[in-house]
Amino acid sequence: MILDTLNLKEVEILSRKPDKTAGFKVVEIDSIARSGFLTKNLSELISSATPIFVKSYGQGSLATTSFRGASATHTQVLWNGININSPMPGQSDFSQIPVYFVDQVKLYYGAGSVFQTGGGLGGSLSLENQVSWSNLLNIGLLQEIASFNTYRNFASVKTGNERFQSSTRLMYVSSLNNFTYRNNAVNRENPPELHRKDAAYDQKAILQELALKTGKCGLVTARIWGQDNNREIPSNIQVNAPEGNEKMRESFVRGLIRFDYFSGQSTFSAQTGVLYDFLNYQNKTSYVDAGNTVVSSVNKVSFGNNFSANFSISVSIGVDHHFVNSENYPGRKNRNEGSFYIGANYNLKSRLFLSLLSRQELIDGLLVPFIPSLGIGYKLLKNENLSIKFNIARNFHAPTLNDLYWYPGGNPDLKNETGSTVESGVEFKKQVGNLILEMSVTAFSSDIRDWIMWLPDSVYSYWTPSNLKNVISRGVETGVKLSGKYRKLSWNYTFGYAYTSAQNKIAFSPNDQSAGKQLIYVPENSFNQTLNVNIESFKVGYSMNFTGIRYTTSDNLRYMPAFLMQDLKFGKRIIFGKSIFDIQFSVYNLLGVNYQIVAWQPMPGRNFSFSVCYNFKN
Amino acid sequence: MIWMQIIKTTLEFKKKYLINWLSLKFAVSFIFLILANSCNKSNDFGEVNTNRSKYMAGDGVFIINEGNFGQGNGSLSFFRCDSAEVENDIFYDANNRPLGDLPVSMEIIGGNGWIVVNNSTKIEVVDLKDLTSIATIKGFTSPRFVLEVAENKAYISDLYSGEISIVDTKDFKVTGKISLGNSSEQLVLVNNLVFVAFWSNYSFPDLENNLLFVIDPANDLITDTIEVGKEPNSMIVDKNGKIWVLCSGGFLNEEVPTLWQIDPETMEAGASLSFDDIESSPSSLCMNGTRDSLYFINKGIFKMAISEVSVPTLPFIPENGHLFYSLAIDPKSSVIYASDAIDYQQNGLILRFKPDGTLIDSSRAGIIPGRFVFI
Repeated sequence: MILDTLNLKEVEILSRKPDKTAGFKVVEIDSIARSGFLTKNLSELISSATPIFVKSYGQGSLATTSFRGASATHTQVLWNGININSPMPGQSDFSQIPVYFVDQVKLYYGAGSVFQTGGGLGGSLSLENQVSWSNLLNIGLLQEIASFNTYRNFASVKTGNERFQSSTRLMYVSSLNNFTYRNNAVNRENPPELHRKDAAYDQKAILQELALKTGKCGLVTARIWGQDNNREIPSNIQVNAPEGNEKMRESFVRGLIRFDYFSGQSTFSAQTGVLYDFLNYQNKTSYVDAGNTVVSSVNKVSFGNNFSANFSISVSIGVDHHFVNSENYPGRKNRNEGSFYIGANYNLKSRLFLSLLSRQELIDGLLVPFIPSLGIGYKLLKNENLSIKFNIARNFHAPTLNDLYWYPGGNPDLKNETGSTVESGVEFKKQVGNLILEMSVTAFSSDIRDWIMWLPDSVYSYWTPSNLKNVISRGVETGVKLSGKYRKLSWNYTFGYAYTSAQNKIAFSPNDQSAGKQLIYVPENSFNQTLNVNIESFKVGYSMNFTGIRYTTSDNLRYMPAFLMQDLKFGKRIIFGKSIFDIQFSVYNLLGVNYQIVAWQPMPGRNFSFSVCYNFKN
Repeated sequence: MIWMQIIKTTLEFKKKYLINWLSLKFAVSFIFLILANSCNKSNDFGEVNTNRSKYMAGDGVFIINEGNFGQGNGSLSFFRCDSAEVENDIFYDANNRPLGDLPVSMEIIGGNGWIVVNNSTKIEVVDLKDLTSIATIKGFTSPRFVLEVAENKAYISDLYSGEISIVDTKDFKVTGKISLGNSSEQLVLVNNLVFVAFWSNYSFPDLENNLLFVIDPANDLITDTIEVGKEPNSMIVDKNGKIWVLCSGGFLNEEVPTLWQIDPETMEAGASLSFDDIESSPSSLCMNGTRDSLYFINKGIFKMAISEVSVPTLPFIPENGHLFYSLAIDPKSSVIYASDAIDYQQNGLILRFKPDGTLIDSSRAGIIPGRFVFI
């Protein structure tokens, strides 16, 4: 599966149904990019394939994203329609999501996230699994050996018939992660080369899916995803911690059953799921050994109807419960959430597309203010794929459970964070012979009020959150995708650039110098480009990713320098009857650049991986 | 209008343009590749501080900026009394490396600066002439304060280890440990005895953190314990040789904050003075040059004579929009130095007040200015 053939072009179904997200920005990470990162985690895929900044503390360590300058808690992550952000910190760790377990990654920028969930003030990320009904027996084995004693092993079995399909995926990843780095905390001008200590990690996971067609129009799918992650948390390089000082173990099980019913122009779906998440953190020096358990029940019923080729409505009702047992909270805590969503889509003369997405949420019996969003798409020319987009929305993000209940410091009186956003863009698509070009430019402006921030009350006092900041984030995103074919050569090229100005507008004391300054760890500039070329069974992939300076203090007097990453991949496909072997050799950080994403957290220099993927398909 | 231009341009879109445009893209990529290659040679890949200056020895005050725990952004600053300007990040400038993660305190011992760097578990000994590092002392778990207790001998308190470390100040080596079985914070030397505050029971939740330990530095033995209030966070000795101890009342505000006076002759804690508000967390107890008045932070800055029988209710210097973090008084001039950490993510403010409480000036040190050291 590593070498996705480029000539396998998706068949575009000329749908007569209205576009459900017209006017909003939704980007799917293409299968070529995804297939090159099959052995990696979502953090590595996002940072290479998009200009979105991933704040990563290193391979296997905490990685969170910032969409459009909003915070990590403002990025909602959904797996097959259910929110998998932990309700405690209110965010997901992207280093713990294996790409192998995801068939489709979609990014919903800004207000587009309302389509899926509330609270995505920056946006949302949707991870989907898809059922393929053509598998009789499909066995996949994938093994990778990479630098720093890293071993990644995967296996999959997909079997079934036209009515029933079973898919099993297994993963075992382990890494000593003892890379060499230059320690600039010892000497800035002549940093000695040292080995990273205490950064080992391992991840074991299973994903089982079952899908069954019932009758002519019904579909039942059941999925269960279990994972166990162990990692050492390396200290920053100014700290001389004892060996194995900090450790974290996280285990989760996510089970989901869904029933879909299609009848004519109507769709109905009902799903119920249970999420169990256990986390244990240990710190030898400070004698901490703390455990948290979160159990969530998620339930959703959706109904959609295309009243005509030009008008459709979808409605969904969700009821979720979270039960938290944390040593960091004063006793057990829970949260009950209800949501009501209604989306209407209307096409006018196949040129003007309107979508009205609205959401009403209820948290612990209190109504979150109504979330409305309006999207407009307009096709400028009848015979060209050139359209403009516009959307406007208001959104809310409720305080996380840590914000409310952390002991000591949690503040139950916190208000919701409020976001208002306006976005506009142009999209263009053109095919000339074998060349396909897609371009887009989007500009946005969003205003987030009552942004939650933790501060100590006084010197020897604990930290407590309050609604302190007002952040105005403005930016421009451009994307170009170009692909072509020439005889036996096929290629594709992508380019993305993002400019993000995210500034705090409120000085909360007369001497606060953070007003009018860029938020910390939000790069103003970032871009990426990739080029993939296939010649018969050979493949070469090149990617480049630039991350501009990130300020590290709110007065912007300190910053991390910009860095540029380049990766190169070579692949070869060998076919023996029904067996396919894909061999891939990759070089990451091609030029061996010394860099740190987060201050004093070193990143590896040039490193390699070699993988063999075996696929048997009957 | 821009859109109209885009439409126009795209209408002219033809195959040959596309190919030209494509080759341009490749050219651009190639340039970036070269650019990246040239960048690579640079060693400046670490955090850049645009507010760094050179240290010039003179009359002034050292300021220890703690920085954020785990973020390695603590630093050393020097406030120059002649120009009233602050030289920031001066250890880095002198030694080409950061001071370390969470510097918390500094003492001048044998003419050298001893800087305790808590999360880097070390003490940096610097030459006060130019701040170059003389020695880096390791062998601590979570060092907090250092005090010279006898000739060639210093004690170092520790938050987590349950021990006091003994360091030879001549050869900068840890020579021994004194087991306390609990954490230790501030240290004072009175009548050749060392008084050690048991401030935090974070790692010793079964112990009551309301004690002072008395250690005889001649034999490193614990001679006494004195019970005070919960969380004794700061201690100071007055002109009569009495020790004043300020207790915050506990991390979770278990009891009202208290102020104690200890007689080092009798080892008796007299009646304590109580604060009204259990939610308050007074800190930074210090004394003026004549050692007859106490000062502390309790949101605002408070002042009281050592003879008073109750703690003042009105601040000497009101909070006035500040989030006071640390307080110290120049023993020579009695000028009051206070810091405001603002949002704890930017360079903090240093405020100077005349002994009568009027503001002299304000300037900026590093992130979370914690301790002032007068030379």
